[in-house]
Amino acid sequence: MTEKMISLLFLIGSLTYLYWAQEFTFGTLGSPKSGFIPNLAGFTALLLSLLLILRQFRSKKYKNKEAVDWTKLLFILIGLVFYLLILNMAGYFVATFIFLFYLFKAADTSGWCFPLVLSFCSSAAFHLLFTYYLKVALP
Amino acid sequence: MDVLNLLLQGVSVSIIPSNLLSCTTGVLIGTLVGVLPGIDTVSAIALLLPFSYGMDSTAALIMFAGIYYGSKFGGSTTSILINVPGEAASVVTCLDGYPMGQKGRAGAALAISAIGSFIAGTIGLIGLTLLAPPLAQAALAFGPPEYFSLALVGLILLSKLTGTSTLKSALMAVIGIMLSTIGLDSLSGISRFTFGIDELDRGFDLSILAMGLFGIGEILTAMTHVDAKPNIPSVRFRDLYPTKEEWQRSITPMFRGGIVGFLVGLLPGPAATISSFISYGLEKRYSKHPEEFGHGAIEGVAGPEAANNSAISATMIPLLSLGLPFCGATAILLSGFMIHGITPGPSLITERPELFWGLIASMYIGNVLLLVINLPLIGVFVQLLKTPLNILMPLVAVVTLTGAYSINNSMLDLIWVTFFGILGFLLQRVGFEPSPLIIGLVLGPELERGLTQGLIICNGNIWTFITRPIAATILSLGAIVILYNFFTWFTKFNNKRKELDTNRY
Amino acid sequence: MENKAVTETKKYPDKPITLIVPFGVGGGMDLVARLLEKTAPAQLGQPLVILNKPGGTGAIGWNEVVGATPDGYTLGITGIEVLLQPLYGPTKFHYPTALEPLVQISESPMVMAILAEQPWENLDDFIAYAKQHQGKIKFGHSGIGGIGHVAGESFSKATKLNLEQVPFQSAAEAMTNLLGGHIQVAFLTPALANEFVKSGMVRILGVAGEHRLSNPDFANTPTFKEQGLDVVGSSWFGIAAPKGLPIEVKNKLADGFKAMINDPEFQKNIEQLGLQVTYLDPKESAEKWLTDSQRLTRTVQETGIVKKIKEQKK
Repeated sequence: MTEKMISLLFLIGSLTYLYWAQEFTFGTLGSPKSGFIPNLAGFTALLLSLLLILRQFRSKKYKNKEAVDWTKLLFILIGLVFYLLILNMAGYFVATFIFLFYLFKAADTSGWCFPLVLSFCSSAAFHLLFTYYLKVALP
Repeated sequence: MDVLNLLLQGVSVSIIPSNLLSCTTGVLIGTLVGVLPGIDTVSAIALLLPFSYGMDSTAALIMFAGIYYGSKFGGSTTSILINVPGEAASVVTCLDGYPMGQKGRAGAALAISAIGSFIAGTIGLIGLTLLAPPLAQAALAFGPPEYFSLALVGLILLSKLTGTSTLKSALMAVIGIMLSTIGLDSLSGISRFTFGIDELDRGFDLSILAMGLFGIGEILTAMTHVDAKPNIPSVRFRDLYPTKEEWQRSITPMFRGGIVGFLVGLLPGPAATISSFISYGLEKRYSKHPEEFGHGAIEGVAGPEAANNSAISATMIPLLSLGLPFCGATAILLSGFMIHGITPGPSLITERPELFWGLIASMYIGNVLLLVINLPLIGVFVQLLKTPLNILMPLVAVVTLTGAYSINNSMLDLIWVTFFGILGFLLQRVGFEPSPLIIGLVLGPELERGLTQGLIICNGNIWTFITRPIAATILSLGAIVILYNFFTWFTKFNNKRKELDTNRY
Repeated sequence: MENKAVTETKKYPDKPITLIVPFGVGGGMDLVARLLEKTAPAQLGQPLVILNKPGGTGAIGWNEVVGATPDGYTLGITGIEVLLQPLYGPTKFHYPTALEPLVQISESPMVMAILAEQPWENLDDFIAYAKQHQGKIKFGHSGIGGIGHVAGESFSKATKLNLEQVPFQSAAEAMTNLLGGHIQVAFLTPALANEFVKSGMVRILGVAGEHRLSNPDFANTPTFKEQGLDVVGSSWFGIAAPKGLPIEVKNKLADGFKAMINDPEFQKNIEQLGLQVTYLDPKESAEKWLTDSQRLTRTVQETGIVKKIKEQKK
């Protein structure tokens, strides 16, 4: 099921890409312009994804991968998005601290004290490492 | 031999305590840079440039060179331990190194990677010592048409590297090419597919994509396993090092990788990354256990790691003998040289031989130092793996994201890392391999550039284009290999069909 | 209120100043910035913090400089691309009017390089050969719309040779192809060509500047103007701030930078990079921006560069 969805996604993706690529001139074989490779690549992708979907409809089999905890995935993704949003507002240290704590709990780490302390120390450590030692500008 | 004398002279220069100290500092920093995802060689050297003004030129350069090749040693560490490539060139090590780690063979993988890097690094240095000037000249003969041919043949052959479905791999490769077209195109001066978002002009950074697809993707997979995954069984000392069988299987790949990496490193572009992919493909082809690749084949670690290290030595050749940087890291090295008043180029060897040979000798010493430093650390690193997943994964996630941000100081990059992380997670579940996408991303621009520039040079004449001696050789060799592959596939296909037919009766 | 403003500027600078470099780490601009970073604390009183924001040939970085508060704590390194970019298409801001130049640090005119083993001893030989062998000569440069491209196209037009151009991603790439014989001519900065001229691999046929170069290796090469061709194109580096700086802050910065640039060690370091120090103060910088901008607008139109870029989109 997922497999067919992914192939469909690629199909739609290639179509969209091709559509946008039309605004670039194609040029000729002797003098390709900026639309040359995009158009070719887009068409090839379109073709391949079509073939893929056809093949998937013909043979139904696909070995099932391990079961996935979709709820957990959702939680993690929400956490990630949240992290990215508050990174600029709250600054690196605070945002990372909250994010780490959230993830630790989402990953079923027991207790409250340990994750809190660990998040605090880790955020501090990362902040120090990146900002002072490596002179990287963090939000 | 004259060269040997010069080399010994160089050794005497590099053993001076101050130079030795800067060599050690350099390789240590390099290893750290390699281990930390995101921080790359270019940024590290750029950051240290101002600090180096007070140092003696030779010492400073030895340090910078140390950082450069040190980072390739460290890059494989995170690839093997947590499936996050510390360096773009270590992406391939994730493919088999990480599965090995999951099986408890992390120590072996790390050891083989360190030793392979050392052996290949030395091979590369020998090549550099003996063959620098003629090789540089040979590299110059490669023009845009030749790069196009290399990219084309490379794309077709390399996209079949991993996974079982050629169709899926091909699709991923083409998508990689499509992604590579997004951004400001230096060939035409316009931005493609950017929709007015200035930040997209930069295009997709290989590291960002790799960290997302491999790193975050794996984190998502690991964190969402339904059945509680048992921790990696406690590792005995014996497990820290490779078994005899693993050794035997790795020796030839190391040497093969060393030579391949050296040859590929002479050419412009992300040489180390490309050479590791080529080595992987080679090893898979020549291996007696090709089905193991992707699930923990030791050759898949030995070869590519060796390749990307000897590629480093090779990239120094155009830099030192011509003064031309062929990739980002050598460009910053060049700047480092110039700030200290040294202009590498044809006159460097004759005007400042003590610098040239001292530098090369220090690279040999640095390689040894790296081996000495890295091997004992393996024990430490493997201990890290014992951390329960629910603590390790969040930390890795943060390190990856922070590292990703530090590349371009861009929030958009982080969004991409997350997006590709989700994509990587989904793709893994349905059998789409991410590595052809990386190949497409890396080779796509080469393909386009080679084609456009080449055709201008050949006045739009395709025939002139493909009959240039080097280009013609590459294209014909490639065509032969592709046809051969097609033939074997076709025969197998036919045989299978005949089998099915006879079975029916 | 006014008192507060006055005291604030009197205290300037009281925290580190951010210098945005709109190109990647390790490039020419970045290195100049880092050289400044070294001497800043002494001359300006506060450290300079370098922030790399690469992308869009400088667009991303400069957008940020323009958008920053004009309080003197955010500055940007500028190059000739600041004038060229707006000519080719819509940019978020019109940089020449949205930015206020503080100082120019260095300037390098483009030079025209050929392989030394080519039989053309001087420009006239070359032009004669090119006229006879139309289509055989290609010239390379480090990027479409860049100053090398512009110089090359003006040359091509001035000599009526209509040479075809091959775009490369970097000056190093162009030089590599020149050495490999894949292109016959390249328009590059003297900094890059220097080493190769010294070793005899490359010869320079013309300098696209108002005066000959002071560097002894290039002193014998006449400018294009001397040879009767109006071909001028120089790459320069400077520093600018968003428009609207208070006068005291601007003066303080201008003085600080002047001191830094005149520092002999800084000059030595710049020259080691292959650049030459050409200092211009704020007023002179602003004038130069204006004249350069006008000239470039004319040139890129006349040589058809703008048309070529626009042709890429339907």
